[in-house]
Amino acid sequence: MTNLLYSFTGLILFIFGFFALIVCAQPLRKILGCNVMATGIFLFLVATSYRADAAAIDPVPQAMVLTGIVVSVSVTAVALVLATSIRQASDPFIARRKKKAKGDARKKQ
Amino acid sequence: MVRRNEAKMNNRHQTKKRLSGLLWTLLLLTIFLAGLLIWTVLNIPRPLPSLSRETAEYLAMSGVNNPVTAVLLNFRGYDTMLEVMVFLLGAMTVWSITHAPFPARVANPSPVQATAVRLLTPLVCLIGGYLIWQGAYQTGGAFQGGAVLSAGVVLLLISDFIWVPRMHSLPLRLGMAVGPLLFVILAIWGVITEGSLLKLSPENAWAYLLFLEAGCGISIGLTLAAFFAGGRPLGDLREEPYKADQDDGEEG
Repeated sequence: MTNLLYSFTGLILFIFGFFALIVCAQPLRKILGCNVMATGIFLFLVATSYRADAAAIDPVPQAMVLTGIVVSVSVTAVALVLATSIRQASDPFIARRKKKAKGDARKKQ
Repeated sequence: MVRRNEAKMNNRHQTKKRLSGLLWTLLLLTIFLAGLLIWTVLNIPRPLPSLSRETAEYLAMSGVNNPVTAVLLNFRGYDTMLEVMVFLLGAMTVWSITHAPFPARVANPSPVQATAVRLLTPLVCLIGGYLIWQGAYQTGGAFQGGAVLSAGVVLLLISDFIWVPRMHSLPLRLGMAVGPLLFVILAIWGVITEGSLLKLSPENAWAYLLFLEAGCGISIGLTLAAFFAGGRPLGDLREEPYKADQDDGEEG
């Protein structure tokens, strides 16, 4: 019974993340939605490695979850840096302040 | 006019959202998808097929005593090799976008912070190394130890030390590359000695895997910290290390 509880929790997390990915407009919330989806899937995978006799757990889904966590960290990092650079390139306030700082540095030389 | 735009962007989280018809349709479709998935999970045929018997059978040949580490590094070592390459590829992508955004004026850390970091960093190295080593016997291994090591490097990054942005970047690059390089060398060594990619002989596998885990742990720690720094290091390999009045030459 506890096995089903963990599987359903992973599934509900996946659905929450899926909804947030589609509905939210800001890029950071979409990235967080992807992360929540990934966490739900990892929980579901680990729950499938449970066996009734505790001596014989299945180690293969746990190894797959380790690989999945590492890949999701890489994807989150790349997505966050891309979102930051998009925001900096498209925000007039930040671009103006950066141009002023560059102009000051050039005037100082 | 710039100030009014900025005020509107800052207050956006305070405006009330009304659920439109499209949002209701999406919500109902998502609930339907959730119901479908729950029905699928309830109808999975039990008992689930499992590989625990085969893993226990071949565990003695794998060179480690923990079934998860054996599956990760030996039986499915090819997946782990590709995963470590994906990690390095993510770091290359992050580095190709921007320089690491260190603040222009670096303040000296307070004595409390400096002492805490000086006390914690050797402990982090010790615990990370222990986790990497104990992966052969209990839960642990390269990824877990690498995460602890990366926490130590992130502590150094956020503590406002003056010398951190000005470090030469060659040790960082070598450290990040040592994990994938060791995997590739081990794969080719498997071809040379046993005839198949990543094939480790059962009596020497423990030594190969310990070496591999150490290298991968260091490289995972440095790569995770590079992800946190958010861009390439300020000193390029062609030029000299970063000086205070050097300009980027590019935006973002």
